[in-house]
Amino acid sequence: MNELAAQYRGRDVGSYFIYTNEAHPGELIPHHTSFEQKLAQARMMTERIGTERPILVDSLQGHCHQYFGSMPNMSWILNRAGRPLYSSDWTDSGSIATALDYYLGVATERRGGANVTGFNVRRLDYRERDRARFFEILALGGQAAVEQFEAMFGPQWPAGDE
Amino acid sequence: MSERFKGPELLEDYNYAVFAAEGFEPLMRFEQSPPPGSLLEDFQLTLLATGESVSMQEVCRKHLLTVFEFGSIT
Repeated sequence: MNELAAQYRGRDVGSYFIYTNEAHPGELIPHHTSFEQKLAQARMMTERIGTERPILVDSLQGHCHQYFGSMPNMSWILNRAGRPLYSSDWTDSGSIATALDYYLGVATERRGGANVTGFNVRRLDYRERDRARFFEILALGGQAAVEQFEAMFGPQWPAGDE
Repeated sequence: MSERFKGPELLEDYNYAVFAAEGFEPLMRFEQSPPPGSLLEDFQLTLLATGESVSMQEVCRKHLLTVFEFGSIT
């Protein structure tokens, strides 16, 4: 996602990371009990994972996160008027790039005088699953985070594709 | 927060201590999230780099398109 942000920065596309609750709290990175702790763990993310985009920290109650559906790693694209154009219940840079290219194309058409109007689309996108990377990140929280995940989904996660 | 998207009353419910179905499943309501093209509520967020409070809608006005990724270190 850092690369995607850099790729589109010169095309009038902003990219931000909104820090939410901890999806997989553990003994090393626990759930939030204060806003100061939430800020500290957001700073930890920039240091340990290298998030380069500006980070916007949501309230301790997660007002923004909950309004948008509370998924642990979702992404949204909003236009300049602040209206949503795209939302995905999981973040995938390829899916977002496809959407950005499309909307930038529409903007070009509009500047050229095209008379276009919006309509709704439902679509299933596909992403690559990287089990090793997922468990590497999960382990940052601590052994408890790994054990709780395996207790929920089993050691064979992910199962066969749909 | 909008009544439509009202979440748990307790901080402890949103900030669950243990990853278990009873903790996170009630939170996940993507199918009830705002539809494309809709008017959104505005939210004040804290810019980590400076500590200043910023409006999500103000952030959007800076660019033709803005990508927001939600998540945490865990």
